[in-house]
Amino acid sequence: MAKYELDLTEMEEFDRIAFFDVMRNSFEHAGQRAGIIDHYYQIGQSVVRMRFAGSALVDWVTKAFAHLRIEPTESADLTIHLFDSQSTETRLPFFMRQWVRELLWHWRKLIDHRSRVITGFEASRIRAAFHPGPGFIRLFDESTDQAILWIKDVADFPDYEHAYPLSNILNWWAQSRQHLLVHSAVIGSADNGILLTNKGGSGKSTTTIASALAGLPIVSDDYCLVTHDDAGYRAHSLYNSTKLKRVSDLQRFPQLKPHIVNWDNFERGENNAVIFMNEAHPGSMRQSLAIRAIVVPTVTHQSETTITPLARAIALRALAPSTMFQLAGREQITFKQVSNIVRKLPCYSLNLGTNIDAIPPMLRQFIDELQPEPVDTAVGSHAKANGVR
Amino acid sequence: MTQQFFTIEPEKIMHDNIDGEVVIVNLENGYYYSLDHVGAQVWQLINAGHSAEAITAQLQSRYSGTEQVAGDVSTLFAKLQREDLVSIATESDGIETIDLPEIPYKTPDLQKFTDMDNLLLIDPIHEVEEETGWPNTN
Repeated sequence: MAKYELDLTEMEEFDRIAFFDVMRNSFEHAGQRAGIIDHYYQIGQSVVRMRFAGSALVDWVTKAFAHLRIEPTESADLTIHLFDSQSTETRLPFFMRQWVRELLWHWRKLIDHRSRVITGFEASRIRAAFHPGPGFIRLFDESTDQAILWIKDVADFPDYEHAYPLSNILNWWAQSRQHLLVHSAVIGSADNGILLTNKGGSGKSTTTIASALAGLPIVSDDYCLVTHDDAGYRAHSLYNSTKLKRVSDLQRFPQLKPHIVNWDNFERGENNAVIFMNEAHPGSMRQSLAIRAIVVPTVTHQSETTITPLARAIALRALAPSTMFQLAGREQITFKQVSNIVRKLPCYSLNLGTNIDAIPPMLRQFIDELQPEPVDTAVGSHAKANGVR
Repeated sequence: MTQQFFTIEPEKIMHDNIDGEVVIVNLENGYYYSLDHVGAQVWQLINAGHSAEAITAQLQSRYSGTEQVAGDVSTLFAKLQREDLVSIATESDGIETIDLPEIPYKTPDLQKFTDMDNLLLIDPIHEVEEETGWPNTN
C-alpha cells in the first residue's frame, strides 16, 4: 500500500480558517471543563487579553508580562487563548490529533526548520507554527486579532518560552499593524533610550542588567516592540525577563541569584538563567522610551568604556539578522523596517571596558546628550538603498 | 557573444546598501554577508542588471591603473555563486544606469558571518529519521 503523506500545499484559505476554528472550539471546550482565567496587559498603545483555560499555564506565561498588567477592559486589540490538554483533562479532536501526529512524523517536509512555520501557513491570513520538541502549536488570525497557543502538557514548556512567551504570536500581530519586534535591549534615561543590540557574548545583557541595577530605566533585555509616528521611533516593553549565560556571571550580580527561576537547569548548564526584573529589581522596567540611537556593544580588554561613532552597515548587521531569524515572521518586511530604523538613527559602538560600575553613569550621560529628533545624516555619505522594497 | 547575467532571488536574498557597504542576508541558511568598497560596487551593478562582462569592463575602465581588476571581479562572481547569493541568467530583467562613487581601488572581499547558526538550535530539533518520526510519538 502506498504510504500516505499530508500535502499541506493543497490547503485553501477556508481550510486554514477551519483549522483555526477547530482549535478555538477546543479551547472553549477546555475552558468549560477547567474554567477561564482572564489577564489584561498594556503593550504599547494596545490592550492584549490572555484567556487561560485552567490555571496551569498562567504562571508560565504571565510572569514575563507582569509589569504590564492592567485592569480588565471592555475590548482588546489582541486576544490570545491558551490551553493545555493535560491539566484541563481534554484532548484535541481526533482528526486534529492525527494531524499533530503527521507533523511529528513528517516534520522535515511540513515545518520550516528555522521558523517552525507550518507549510501552507506562510503568507496567509492564518499564521501557524508548530514546535516539535516541546510539541506546541501557535496560531494567529490576522483578520480577527485572535491567537491560540496549545501545548499537550505544561511540563513540556521550555525555559526560553517561560522567559519570552508568545514571541511568534506577538511578532505576527505586530507585523499586521506595521510595527516591529526587534531583538534588542533598550536602556534609557528620563524618556529617552537607546537600542542596544548585537549577537550573544557582546556584553548586551551584562550592560542591561548593570544599568537596571544602577537605576537606569530599561524597556527590554532581549526583545521589544518598536513603533514609529511623527514623534519618531519608540520602544515598548514586552518582557521583564533577562538572562545570565554562565554561573560565573553571578560573581558580577550576586544579588540576582535568589531570583533565578530555573536554577537547576542553569546549574547543570542546560539553559541560561532566567530572571524576572519586575521581581528582582522592582521599578526598573519602563513601559516605553523614545529611541534616540542604535548602540552596538563589543567587549574590549581596556579598563574604561568608550562610545564612538559606528558605520550604519555594522549596526544593520548587528540588528537585522538576529531580529529576522529569532522572530519568525515575514522576514522581507522585517529587513526593510530594520533598515529604515538604521538609516534614521545615529549609530554608535559601545566599547565595553572591564570596569562595569562605570558603564551605567556613562550611558546615562550619553543618552541625556542625544538629540531629541532622529538624525537623517549618517557617518559618511548617505547612499541610495538598493533592493529594499 | 552570449553575455552572462545574474539574478538575485528576492524571496531568499535580502540586501541593502548603506553608505557604500552592502549587507546581504540569506534567509534560507541564516548566513549574512558584507561587501564594501569595490565589492559593493560590483553588487550594485549586479542588482542594476548589468552583465558580468559589462561590470568587468566598467570597473576596468574606472580603475584603469589597476591590473588585477578583471581577476578580482571574476573571483568575486565565483564567490557570490558559491554562496548562493546570485544565480546565472542568460538575460537581464532590465539594466539600470547607476552612478558609482569615486573611491580608491581595494580588492573586493566578501565577508561571511555564520553566527546565526546558533539560533537554529534555540529550539533543537533532534535528528530523527522520517520512518520512525519524532521520539515522543511512541
